[in-house]
Amino acid sequence: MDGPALETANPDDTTTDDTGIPAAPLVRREDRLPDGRSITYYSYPEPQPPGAQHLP
Amino acid sequence: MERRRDALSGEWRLFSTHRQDRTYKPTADACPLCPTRPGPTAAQTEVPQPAYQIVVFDNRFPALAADPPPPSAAGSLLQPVAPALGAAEVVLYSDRHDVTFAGLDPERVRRLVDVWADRYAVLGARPEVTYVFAFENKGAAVGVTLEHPHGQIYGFPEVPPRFRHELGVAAAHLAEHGSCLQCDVLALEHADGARVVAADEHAVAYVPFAARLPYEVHVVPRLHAGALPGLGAGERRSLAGLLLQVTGAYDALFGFPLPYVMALHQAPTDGGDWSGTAHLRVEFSPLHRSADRLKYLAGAELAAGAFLNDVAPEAAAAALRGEP
Repeated sequence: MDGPALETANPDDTTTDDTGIPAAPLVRREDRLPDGRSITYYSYPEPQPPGAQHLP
Repeated sequence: MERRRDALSGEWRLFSTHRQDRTYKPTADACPLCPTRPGPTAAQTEVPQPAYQIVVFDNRFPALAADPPPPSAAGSLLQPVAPALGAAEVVLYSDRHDVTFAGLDPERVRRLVDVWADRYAVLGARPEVTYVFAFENKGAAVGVTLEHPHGQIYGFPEVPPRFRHELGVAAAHLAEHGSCLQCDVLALEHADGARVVAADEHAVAYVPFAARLPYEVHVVPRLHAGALPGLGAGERRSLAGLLLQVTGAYDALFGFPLPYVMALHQAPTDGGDWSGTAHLRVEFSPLHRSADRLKYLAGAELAAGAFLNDVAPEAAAAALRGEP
């Protein structure tokens, strides 16, 4: 891939949901394809499956 | 690749002759929208990564571009021609090839709404883009050439004809009644309820009173917002949930993944004041009138622009609610 990647958090996603829990930010990473076209990757934390526990 | 204005209608039309050569219904193992899998014989796809969540990239075969070539024909004062200036993006919903919109998990659709909002802001900030149009063509019946779950976004250099007409109608309503036309329609539909397919505290999905197509559905936030960036997190989650309900209801009613065009109607990004007239809606236009019959756009629709509907909107809504 050509060119530097830019990674920014989307400010639209810092709002809280109806649950009052802050939404995790959507991360945007911009890049260029080999032929010069723009490509943007959006990523976010996948929800944990029911019953999943965080390790200490 | 150019834009030409039709003298008789005053409408600009897009010409993209290079799109005749675009990838046409490849097999799943040759899908250009899947991730590029590692391996010595792996072919590079449009996404040079082994996995992704949601991706947006410039269309390889664009109808509009930031640096379009000069027009191929000379125009005139009566019939002007212009470069196809604008944007054409592809939005990949998932790196899974075998899933449709209705099969996406709710969190992903919620994030897709965020991505649409972000692209509205990014493309709308470009001076050459006057209207950001996000849409999905789903299924062969509406001309899909790639099965991988994806949508598209066009950044038009002018407001497309249908949207311009609707905004004009909304402006006349605002001038006469002092209120948003879509807000008033939504209140009517919610109070009546006969055409409501699904609803929650933030949004309503309904078959329009005078639907053009038998199973047309509009999903509209209750909040008066012209575009997705005006919605908060709760409204976005609600919108995502209703989009899944509608697409799920389509598939359940017809017994197969129903082809449709899904279109986001949002405020123009031309710097004008659309605060009183533009009200975000997501419009589904399926072409089926029954499981084995298509609603063809023929004489009345194609030639006259007068839609003839074979199904009562109240019956369509009841069927989509799962009522016998």
